[in-house]
Amino acid sequence: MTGKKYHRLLERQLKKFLPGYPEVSEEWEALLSAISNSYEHSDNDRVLMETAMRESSDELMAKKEAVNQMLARQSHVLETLKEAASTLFPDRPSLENEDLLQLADVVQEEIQKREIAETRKAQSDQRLLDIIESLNLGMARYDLDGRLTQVEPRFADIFGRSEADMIGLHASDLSGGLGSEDQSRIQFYFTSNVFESPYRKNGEELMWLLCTTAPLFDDAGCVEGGVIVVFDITSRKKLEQEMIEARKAAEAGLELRKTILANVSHELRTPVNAIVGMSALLASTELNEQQRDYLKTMRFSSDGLLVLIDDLLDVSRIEAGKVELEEIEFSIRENFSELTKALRLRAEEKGLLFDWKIDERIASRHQGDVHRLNQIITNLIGNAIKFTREGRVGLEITFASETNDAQEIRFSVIDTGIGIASERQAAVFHAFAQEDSSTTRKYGGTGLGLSISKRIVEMMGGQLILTSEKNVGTTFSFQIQLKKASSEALAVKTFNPDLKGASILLVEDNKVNQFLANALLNSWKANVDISEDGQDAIDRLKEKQYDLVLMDLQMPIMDGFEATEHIREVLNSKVPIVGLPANALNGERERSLEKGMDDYVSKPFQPEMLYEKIHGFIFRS
Amino acid sequence: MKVQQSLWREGKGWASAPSMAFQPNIVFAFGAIDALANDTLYSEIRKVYPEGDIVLVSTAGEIHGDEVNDHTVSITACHFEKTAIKVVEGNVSDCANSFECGRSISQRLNGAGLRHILVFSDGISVNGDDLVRGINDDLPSEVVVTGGLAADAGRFTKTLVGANAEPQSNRIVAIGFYGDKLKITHGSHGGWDLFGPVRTVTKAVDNVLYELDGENALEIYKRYLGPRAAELPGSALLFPLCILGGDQESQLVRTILSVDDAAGTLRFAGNIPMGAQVQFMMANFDRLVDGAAKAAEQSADQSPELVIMVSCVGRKVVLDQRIEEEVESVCQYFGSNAAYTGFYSNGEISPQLGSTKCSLHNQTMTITTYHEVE
Repeated sequence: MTGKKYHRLLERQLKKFLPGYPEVSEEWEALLSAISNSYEHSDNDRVLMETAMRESSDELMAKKEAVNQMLARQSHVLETLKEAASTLFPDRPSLENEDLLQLADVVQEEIQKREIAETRKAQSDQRLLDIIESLNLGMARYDLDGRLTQVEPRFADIFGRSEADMIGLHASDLSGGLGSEDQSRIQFYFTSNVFESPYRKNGEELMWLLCTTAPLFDDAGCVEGGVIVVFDITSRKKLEQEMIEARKAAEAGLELRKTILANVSHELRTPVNAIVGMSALLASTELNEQQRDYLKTMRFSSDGLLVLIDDLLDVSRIEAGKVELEEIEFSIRENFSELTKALRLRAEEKGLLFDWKIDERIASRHQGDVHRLNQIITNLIGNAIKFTREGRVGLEITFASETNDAQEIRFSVIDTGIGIASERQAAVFHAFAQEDSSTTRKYGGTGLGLSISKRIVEMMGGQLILTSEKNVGTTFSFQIQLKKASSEALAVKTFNPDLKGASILLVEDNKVNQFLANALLNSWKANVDISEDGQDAIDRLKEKQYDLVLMDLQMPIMDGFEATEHIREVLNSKVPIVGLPANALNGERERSLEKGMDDYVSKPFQPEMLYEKIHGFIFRS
Repeated sequence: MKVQQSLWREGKGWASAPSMAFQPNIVFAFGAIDALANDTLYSEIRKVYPEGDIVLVSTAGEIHGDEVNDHTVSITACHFEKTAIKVVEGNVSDCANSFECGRSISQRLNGAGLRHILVFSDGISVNGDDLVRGINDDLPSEVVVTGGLAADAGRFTKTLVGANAEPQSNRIVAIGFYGDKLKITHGSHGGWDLFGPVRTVTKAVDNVLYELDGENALEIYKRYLGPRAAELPGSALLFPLCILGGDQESQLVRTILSVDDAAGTLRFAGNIPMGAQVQFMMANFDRLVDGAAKAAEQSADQSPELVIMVSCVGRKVVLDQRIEEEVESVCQYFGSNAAYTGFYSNGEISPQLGSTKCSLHNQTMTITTYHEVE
């Protein structure tokens, strides 16, 4: 036999140990094949094992490398985590020596702490919500689009809806049937706001809500929406409404009282005026000594009564804001020189010294309401005389400052009277107040004068100041600005009434007024016809040409307004008509101008003013 | 019980002729695939034993006494005196799947006094795992199920199983044993070593494995087999796959039945669960033999009358000419009073240790012992 039949090791062994090889018997060949196969199998097994072991070793090495890399990565991660942990939990003792497991424990622990904290916060938030609920405050949140995102039960309850239904609603959806033009409807502001808003719950009775809004901020500090808290204030609002109505009623009552006061004053004034007028006329007749004495007493009493009524009327008018200051050109020197004559007389009658002085720097003429100024000074000096038993009473007019157009002037009334206790000083300016109630009994007077003076000084832009020491004396002073008159040198007016040739129609139903006016006009040589009512006046005007009509306003049959309207529109007459309003309060003067009258003269009229007006209309053109 | 054994040589006829006088109620014929395919063995055996059921199974090696043969048929005729026997047959193509096949079989066998089911199944077309689960599905827990998958000398192309007819592919035969006089014990042991890294099954569908640790599984096998890769799928028997369980007892070993080179997949005798941890196994010569002895110890019957061994084709590939050593170790354990038969299979069926619920094993020596008591 040739060639390698068996495994190479077996071939060598056979050559070496079997004599005669490769010659073998048939029986031996089967055995040798089996042996050779075992050798082959063993070799194959070895190769297989080696391959597998090498592969396995390579793979395990690669896995070890991967594990090493993973470990390196993990240790890097661990370091990073430690850094992060020490930033996150700065109050934690050093984490330097912690391994990953311990670090995990630390993080776990911190997370638990935070969870507990968050739970507590949630509980406290809930408590807050509970408090808000128990206070009957309705709360809700809305987003930047103004849509509700969270609604608390009480909020939904106030609006009579369910919480779920309200999510996504706009403020306009909460108008409750009230028009969107209603300025006070509910709004979702993104600022802090407080407002009251009406709401008609389920279209039923109107309720009122007090609403508060506030912005909500996200973590970056940007506004992310808002919160609104509402409180049902319907009952409070009702009470408020009732109070407003009660106050209105009270005010109306007060107004009525003032009107009554004014009317009563007026009604009192008319007869007293007649007495005064008649006394004046009577004084110009031939009288004996006794009659003259009686007349003097009567005039004194009626003068006092008139002052009282004027004061009351003034108070009413000042309170009603009906007093307007006039702009009259006058000379302070001349005016006070005239005024003090009478006052000096009264002082000297009581045995008091009286003097007055005026600063040289005071301009010769000013513009202002000289009548009101006189009223104040008369009142103050009158008081001073009244409350001073001995010593002196004085008026000082001093210069304070000036501009091109005006001067600041101080008026001071000084006495050496009983003085006013400091604790009572503030009260003396109040209406109807005097130093104490016994004062009225001892000194008389209404107590209205100071109050009126104070108010008029204030209207003039000054302030009435009182300095006083009990039993030493009192000084009342005030400083006001008076405009300098444009032309300082005006001719001194003299009153020489003369209406010769003028024909005047007097329309007046009140007999006393009729008599007085007629007497005055006659003394000014005017020709006077008298009508008792508006209708009669119209009839007369149809028949005769008049230069002027003096028209009372309140008359029977046809009043002055209607008559004027008729004269202007039906008769188409331009005859000057001067109204004679009696009531200072009810807007008659304004109404008379509206109805077509040219001017008015308030009753009781001062003869100079009446003359000036009549003269102006008849002789101006 | 009485047992009569005889041997048929492929293409040659009876080596030891059976006695015509013996009247068995069951005959086991474990034979070489070519012998069963060509030698009309059923007719030959039926001539000898006109009575009794005859069960034929193709093998990858026949165990006959203490010998392991190729190209033979080991015939064991048994006469059970106190035990009733019932044989049923199933066809894989008649069932929706292997699980349903198993259910159907155990339903047909289940009945009063059932103690044991011995099941032999086609070793290629059947998912052994599902079959075993199907058999177990509705069975009383005290019934012991053992058996094996037919083989074809490690070619993995076609296996044959039959009962009372010439054997065919896609068949399952199951024998039910009834009565309380039969004593059954069983044991199963491998003896393979785990080696290499533990891998995770990242892609598998039923018993088809695609990827381990994201790497193509067939490529890994080829790398490890080196020059022997050319002998796939047979050489894959050298590295069975162990599915690692929570403990050593629940470890399952899986043998490759076929490879699909185009798809790059491996098909195993049992299922490979997704996500399972697996590791390669490697033969350790001494331990394989030792493993057979351990299987005998587990069966714990000191005086059986019949011992049926179902061992794995993989063990035979590894042990080669020394394969008889594992059979000898079993024979030594039980002694000369018992009759020994069995075969090398594509998969062994036996309960896990400590449980009667059977499962499919691979690469083990699995032993079932029988004896009838008074």
